[in-house]
Amino acid sequence: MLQMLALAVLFGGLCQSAAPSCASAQTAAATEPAQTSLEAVEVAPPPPMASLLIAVNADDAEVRVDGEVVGQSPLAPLELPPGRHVVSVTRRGFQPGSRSLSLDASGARLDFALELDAAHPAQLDPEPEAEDIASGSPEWYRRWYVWAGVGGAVVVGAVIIGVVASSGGGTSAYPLPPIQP
Amino acid sequence: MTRARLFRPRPLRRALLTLGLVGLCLPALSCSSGGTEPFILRLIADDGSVPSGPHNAIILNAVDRVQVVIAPDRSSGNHFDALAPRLFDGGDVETRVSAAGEWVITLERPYIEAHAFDHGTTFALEIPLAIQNTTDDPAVHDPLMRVTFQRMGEIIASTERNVNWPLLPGDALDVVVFCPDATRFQCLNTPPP
Repeated sequence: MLQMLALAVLFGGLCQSAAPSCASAQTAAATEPAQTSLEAVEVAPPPPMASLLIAVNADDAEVRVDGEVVGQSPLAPLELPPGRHVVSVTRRGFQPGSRSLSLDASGARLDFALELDAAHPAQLDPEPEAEDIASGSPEWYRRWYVWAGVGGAVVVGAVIIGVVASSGGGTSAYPLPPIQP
Repeated sequence: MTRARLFRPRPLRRALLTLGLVGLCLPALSCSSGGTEPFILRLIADDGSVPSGPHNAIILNAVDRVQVVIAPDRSSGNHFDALAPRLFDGGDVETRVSAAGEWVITLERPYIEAHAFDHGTTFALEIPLAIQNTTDDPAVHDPLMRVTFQRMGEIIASTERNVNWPLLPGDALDVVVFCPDATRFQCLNTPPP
């Protein structure tokens, strides 16, 4: 097909400078390449995707496919082009896991059973500040200044209420001393 | 351990921080609420609906001073301890104990205007009292309460009655104040004919 298309282009270029007698031949040749390109589109459909389910025994584990972060566990099935892929899973406090698989059109399931990392047990307590900032997905409720701000707002509110109540916002009660017998 | 790590709250530290701040708020809240409930003394101006006797309407504009006196039974030796005059509400309310051992509260016109419930031919004024002793001592007899409505230094309406002692926080007492015929025009803030 491509050979015919190349011939048509070459023939058309020659005809532009040649006698008008070749016009009919040019038309005929131009019609044929058009059909050819249509066929080319039809015969090159997008590659079929395959489903890959990645199951991890711990939530919030970061999952990468071919080095690219695809999300955190639990994940919905991924649609990937068939072929060889490398899946890696990391989570603080656990030993990382990595596997490669050859994915075909029928899809696959990959189970990761991460094991606790005894060498870094403290990392079980998430300290996401730096990474959160870097990833742009801060867990706001884990920021100390959020809670300090909430506490500060409560203090300020209480003080304002106290000041308003004691400065005539409400009527004060007048002390009545006891009667002495 | 880095300095940043030291100051980064863990869940327990976060909870303690929040609890600490809330703990700071509680004293402020308790101060603002004033502790126990007050006793409410509700003075009600006679509306003059009864056509005879001392029943004449008293309008709010006729009253420029209200005074309440609680007089213990002197014959039993009851008395209030001496107390220097104290001013409240910008000086519009004064409390003191007289030389006779009577507790006196005086409410001036600005306070009356600001706190009275005006009903046209009558009005009501609530006076909150912080009771400092609720012990029912049998040696203390029920005192006498005198309430006067004054206008330009003249008593235009008054009432007098015994009150059960001790007054209890959260309770209320309604006292109707009567305007006699002699001052019925003053009670309506109109010149006599």
